[in-house]
Amino acid sequence: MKFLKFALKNLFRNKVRSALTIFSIAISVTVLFSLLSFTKGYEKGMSGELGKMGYQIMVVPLGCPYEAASLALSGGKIPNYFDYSILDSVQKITEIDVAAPFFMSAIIRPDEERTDIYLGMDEKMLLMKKYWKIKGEYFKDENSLIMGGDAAYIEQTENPGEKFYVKEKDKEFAVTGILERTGTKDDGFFFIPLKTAQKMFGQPNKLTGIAIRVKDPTLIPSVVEKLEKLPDAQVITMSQLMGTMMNLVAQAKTLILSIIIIAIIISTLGALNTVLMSVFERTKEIGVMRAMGAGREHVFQLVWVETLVMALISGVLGIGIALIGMGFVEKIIKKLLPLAPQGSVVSFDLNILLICLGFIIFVGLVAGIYPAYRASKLKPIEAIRTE
Amino acid sequence: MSGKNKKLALVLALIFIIFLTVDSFSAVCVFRFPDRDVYKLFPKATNYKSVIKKIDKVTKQKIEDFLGQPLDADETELTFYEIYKGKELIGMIHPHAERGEYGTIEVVWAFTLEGKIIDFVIQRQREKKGDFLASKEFRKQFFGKDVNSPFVKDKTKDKDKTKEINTDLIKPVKDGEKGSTAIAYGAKKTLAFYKFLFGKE
Repeated sequence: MKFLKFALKNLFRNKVRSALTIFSIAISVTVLFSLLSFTKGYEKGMSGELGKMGYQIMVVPLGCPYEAASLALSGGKIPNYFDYSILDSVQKITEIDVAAPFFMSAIIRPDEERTDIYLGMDEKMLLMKKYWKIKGEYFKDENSLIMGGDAAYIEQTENPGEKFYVKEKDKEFAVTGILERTGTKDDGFFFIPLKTAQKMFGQPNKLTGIAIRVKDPTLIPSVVEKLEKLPDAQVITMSQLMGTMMNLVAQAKTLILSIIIIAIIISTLGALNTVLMSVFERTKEIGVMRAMGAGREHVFQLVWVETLVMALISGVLGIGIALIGMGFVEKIIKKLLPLAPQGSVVSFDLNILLICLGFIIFVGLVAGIYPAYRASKLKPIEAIRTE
Repeated sequence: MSGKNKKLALVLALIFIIFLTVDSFSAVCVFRFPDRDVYKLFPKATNYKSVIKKIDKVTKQKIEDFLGQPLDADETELTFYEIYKGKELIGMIHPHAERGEYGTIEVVWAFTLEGKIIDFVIQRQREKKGDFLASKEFRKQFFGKDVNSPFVKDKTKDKDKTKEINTDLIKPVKDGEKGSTAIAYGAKKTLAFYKFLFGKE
């Protein structure tokens, strides 16, 4: 306890120097904690969102399958199509429980800073979206529209029965249903009947994808094998998609982690330098301590505790900043990431907190060894004589 | 704490506050194209500054009594933009949204410091007659009008119709009555916000 008090007192001797050192280490800890929390949150959010989709396989037109699948999930203008007749071949596969065709497209309005995403679907999609709670009802006719929860909020549409107009296509809809917020990308979509979507975007009898749920998840490989034989189509499973996304995140994580490690090394050298300078400044004082009976181990411990306290304060401060700024970081990440899950992408995890804190304490301990060793090796008489 | 340390602490605190508040400012801002629309509405403007006004319970009640309509649940904090020509404050801008016939109509209102409408631009809408609503012919009916202008029906005469356009003052766009009404009511509401939140009573 005495060592701790002494160490704190020493840190307060040069407040600006100590504060700057602590702040630089804290920033590294903030970035480290935020990165780990993001990776964890993203994985959790993504798997939650993919799990909520209700389907395990997606059949998309030829082209980049990941691009098509990710566009179908996040919403966008899918440039490739295949013929509706492909659905018959898909439905012949007996292991398939539900095959829901869809047509997705978007109308981009840069002058109004918005993109409207339309998903053409039929009642089979409802079997996939069991988590939907519709205020109102399903499509009544070809001019019906169901609004996602967020879309309805933006359009100030509170009740079914309101009208909706698509200027670019001169098409009027009647809102038959409004989705309760689902926490998925569906919240921002406009759902319209499949045939209406095909007609509205000038692609009659075309599809941008088929969502598939198999009767038994163990049958996925055999279903995929059969689907791969379809002409003009590609198959992607949700687990593949998840794996690809996580690989992309992992690559970015490795890069950022390397930068953080460099930052931590630099901060650690800064801490080492701060404590070393403090030792030099206190040479005479250490000499007096030794002359009065303090052992080498006492001096060593004293300096070491000082570094440890500095690391601990930095760790707590860094994590505190990260926790306060979590919402801010989340919004930035969501803006930058093309396919971020709708829910939280930054997750608080006690293990991550302990890892970060433990790591910085370890770094502090290592950084403190050399200055502590130097201090403990000082000879009392020579130290007292030092000017 | 020495003077030098105080300065350092102040700078660090300031950085920290800016870091925390950047997001909350952007969240309440619905003015989508300030750089484009400010100079369109105020050609002589050289600068602008946002002002956030919170609506407390008393003010809310006053506004609702004035309008004869309840405020929307999310109308608790509003952003106004003060428009400057050099250092001189020359006018105000407030973006406001109302439901039209086919969805939200977002209107950016420009008015003088006395609360007289200068002009408006529509930044988002889905109306079939949207082009007519944005036309000068329709807009000019609002020019020079203030909070006491009867944009909508009189609450003393038509208590339940205080959201309906007063066709004696504003001629609605043909086949675009709902959109016209939304804009007229939006004008009344915007000017009422200005009146009660900036003490122009």
